[in-house]
Amino acid sequence: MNAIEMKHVSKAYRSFSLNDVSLSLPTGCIMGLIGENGAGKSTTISLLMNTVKRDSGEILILGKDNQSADFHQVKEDIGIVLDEAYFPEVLHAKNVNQIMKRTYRNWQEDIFFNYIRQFQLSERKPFKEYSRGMKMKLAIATALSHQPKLLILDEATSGLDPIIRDEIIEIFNDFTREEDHSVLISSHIISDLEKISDYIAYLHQGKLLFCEEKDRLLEEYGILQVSNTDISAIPQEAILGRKDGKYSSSLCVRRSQISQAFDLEPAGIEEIMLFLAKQEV
Amino acid sequence: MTGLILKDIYTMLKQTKLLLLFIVVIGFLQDDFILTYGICYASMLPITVLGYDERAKWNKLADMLPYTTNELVGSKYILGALSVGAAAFIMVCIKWLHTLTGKAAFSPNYWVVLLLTVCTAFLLLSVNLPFMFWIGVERGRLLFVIFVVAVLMFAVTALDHLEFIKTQTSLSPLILAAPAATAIILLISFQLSKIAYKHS
Repeated sequence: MNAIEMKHVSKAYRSFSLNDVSLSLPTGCIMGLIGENGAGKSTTISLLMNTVKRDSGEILILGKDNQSADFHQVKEDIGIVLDEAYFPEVLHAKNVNQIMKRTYRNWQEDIFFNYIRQFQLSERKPFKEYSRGMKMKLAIATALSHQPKLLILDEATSGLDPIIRDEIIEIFNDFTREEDHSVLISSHIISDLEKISDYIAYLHQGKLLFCEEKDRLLEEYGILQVSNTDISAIPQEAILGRKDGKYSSSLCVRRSQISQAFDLEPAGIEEIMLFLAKQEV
Repeated sequence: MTGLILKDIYTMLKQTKLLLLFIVVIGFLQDDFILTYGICYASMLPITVLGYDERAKWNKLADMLPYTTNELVGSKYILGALSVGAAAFIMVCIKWLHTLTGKAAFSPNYWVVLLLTVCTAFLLLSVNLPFMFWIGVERGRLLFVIFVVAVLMFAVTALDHLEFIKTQTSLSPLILAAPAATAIILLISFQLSKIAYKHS
């Protein structure tokens, strides 16, 4: 079963539209959702949680249509962290525990306070006095403390220092050790996603350019530095994107369609993303 | 839904302490006008909480939690009912303390004023909340004031022309009808607030 299934989902606003997005996150996997600012990542997450109504298409979350009347029950199994924590400023961690205890059926106080201690958060400090990093840690602790099966994280690690980010990435990784646990994580920090994702979905200007297994992407694409005079020897269909210089060009190419005579450098996710974005403009 | 109400109570705890003090003080003054003012003020507490929610963008998170629109909107009505109920209860308790010392007595008129005051407080809540859910607290307050002034002007003009009100010797049918009318208006308001919430 897929934890998330989007089929031909579209949503149009006045100045932006998300067009015909189809993606599947298999249960037990981590999917990284990448894209530039305004590409549609947060809209996609809002559509998944049905806080924004889609114009067309179908969305199944943990096997349930997200527009069904009892979808709020499915939300019991979803841990969510948005780009900000959005708790009222007067609350502190103990208040959050009391509120969430009465919100989620499976709320586990001991797990919540373990995270609070692990993240070195004060239990009594008002939310407004937290730094951005502390706020996000509180949101992450909340999302992880009600036995969710699916974690949806929208820029959850932004604003955190590299050490705690690494620690949190490890927590997300641990989370998927249970075979029915899945994670969808959108982030600008592609190095984090590269570390943990099984799948990468790339949104660009409201279109899904690819949704592939990360390892396949890394195997399939390579970077080729070639002089402008030799560029004609490269089959056009092999070129995914290019950056032209005065005397030479950088090409992102499909390895399978390129002669082995060429010396290809490995392509990282960020490079593939940049090449594709350039090509699409 | 208790989680939502608890969140609201935590949010307005400081305001609640002030309100309690205010109600106790004016309760001891034993003036009908102030009693009305205190209870109506209590009905405004959900608006204060909505203001805090707006500032924190709490709804972005709340929409992701396992709550229905009924619960998200209904919690504010329940909070309003709790505030008005608590304010009225404290007023009655203080009045009762006064009766013990022989300084006051529970007259039938007192209960009529209390009942109509509670109904008025709920009416204010009913008119207020859909505006707040629709366009937010800041603009909602402005629209609410405009609306109330317009209604009052209309009512004053209309009453001048309704002769039967002037000749009415007993208000008892009106008293009996007030709670039922308030309940119906609350229900309509709740439905409007849900529509406003979904489209906000």
